[in-house]
Amino acid sequence: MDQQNNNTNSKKFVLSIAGLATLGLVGYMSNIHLKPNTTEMKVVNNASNVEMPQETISTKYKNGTYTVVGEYVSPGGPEQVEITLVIEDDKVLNASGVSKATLPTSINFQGQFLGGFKDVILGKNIDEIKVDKVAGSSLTPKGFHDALEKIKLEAQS
Amino acid sequence: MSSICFDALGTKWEVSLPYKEIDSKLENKIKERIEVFDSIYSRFREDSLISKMSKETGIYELPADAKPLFDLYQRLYTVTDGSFTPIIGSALVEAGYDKKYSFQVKKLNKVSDFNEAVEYNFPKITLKQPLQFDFGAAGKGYIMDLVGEMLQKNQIDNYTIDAGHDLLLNGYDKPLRIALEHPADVKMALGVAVLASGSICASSGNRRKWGEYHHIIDANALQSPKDILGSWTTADTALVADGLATALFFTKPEILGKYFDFEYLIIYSDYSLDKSDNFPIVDLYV
Repeated sequence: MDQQNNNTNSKKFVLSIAGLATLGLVGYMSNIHLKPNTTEMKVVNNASNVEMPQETISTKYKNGTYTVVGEYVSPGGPEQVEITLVIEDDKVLNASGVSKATLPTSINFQGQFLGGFKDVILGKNIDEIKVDKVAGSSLTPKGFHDALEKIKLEAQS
Repeated sequence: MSSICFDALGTKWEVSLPYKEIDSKLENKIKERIEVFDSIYSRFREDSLISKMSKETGIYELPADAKPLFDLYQRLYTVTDGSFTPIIGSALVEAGYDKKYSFQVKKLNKVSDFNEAVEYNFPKITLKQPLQFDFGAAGKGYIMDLVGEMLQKNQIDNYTIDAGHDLLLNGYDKPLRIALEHPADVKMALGVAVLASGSICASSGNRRKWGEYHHIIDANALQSPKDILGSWTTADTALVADGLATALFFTKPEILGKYFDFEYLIIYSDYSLDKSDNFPIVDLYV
């Protein structure tokens, strides 16, 4: 039983990471020099902190708390980062991370990553909630937005 | 049910009426009114009154509509100990948020003491030195109020004015459900608020951001506050809601609450939340 859970959860986490990547996590990952072919995710402590789902609705991921240690090879050698995700109904409800880095550069990059990655996963998709209007500051003035995009393009070339 | 959409003040506007039609004459009047406002208060236009004031000292007679706007800025200047100031334009320009949107950061110079640099006695304002005004914090809110007044003068009592996702609404029997957009991700909502009349405005340092600055600069610190990710405010007028959403970046809500009638929700950069007792939030997704 334990062994089986271990395997399923491991797969699920990899799927979650793929989902997160499409939300923009990849941008942060590039900061910590994650190389996909050298990355191996391992589920740890899963027996103690995975809550098994009560219901049998058809979700892609089982509800629960997932803790994984990500390993990657930084330019200075192997490093680790521990990430905990709370998944409910295929949504990441909460996320936290602990830096396991040893090299100063890695500690710095992981700090940026851990400080930033919650930005993309907190809250609920606006398309999925019933609302009449949106209040926020998303509509950046056009001139500002265009100029900033231009500068970004220039920076890339 | 009808609505009109247009671009003005560099953002998207939508005026919607649940039960009435907006005739094209009124639609044009609204657009003209906003254009007149822009031609006076925009620091991005060479021909504006504000651009003239950035070059020439002297006594200026302010337009009739200027009083609520200047009065609010002066009150907020006092309450925030000068962090919130109408003459923050010089610092914004030096930080690179200039007419050409250069985003080239230069050294930021101390912003003048507003009370020393001007004598303000509506409708006259005397500039002892050229001053770069900037009404980015509450100007849009004020013109939203003015558009609301125009609708009401035309016997339209039930409406929503959406100007770049700052809202002014009036006359709903059933409150509208309003998603509070995540400051870091436009697709996500932090929660849902409800409002039947009045204004809800948001401010965030995340969207208009370059280097170490965003469009909100504290005139005392000469820095963009980093400890707040975003704020929402509700108030009777969009002028107050808009201005206070920015003032919350500088000054504690308890202090602002002594002087202004408003409710607020703040999300800090560590993702902690703070809200006033009566901020009308019904769902929270954190």
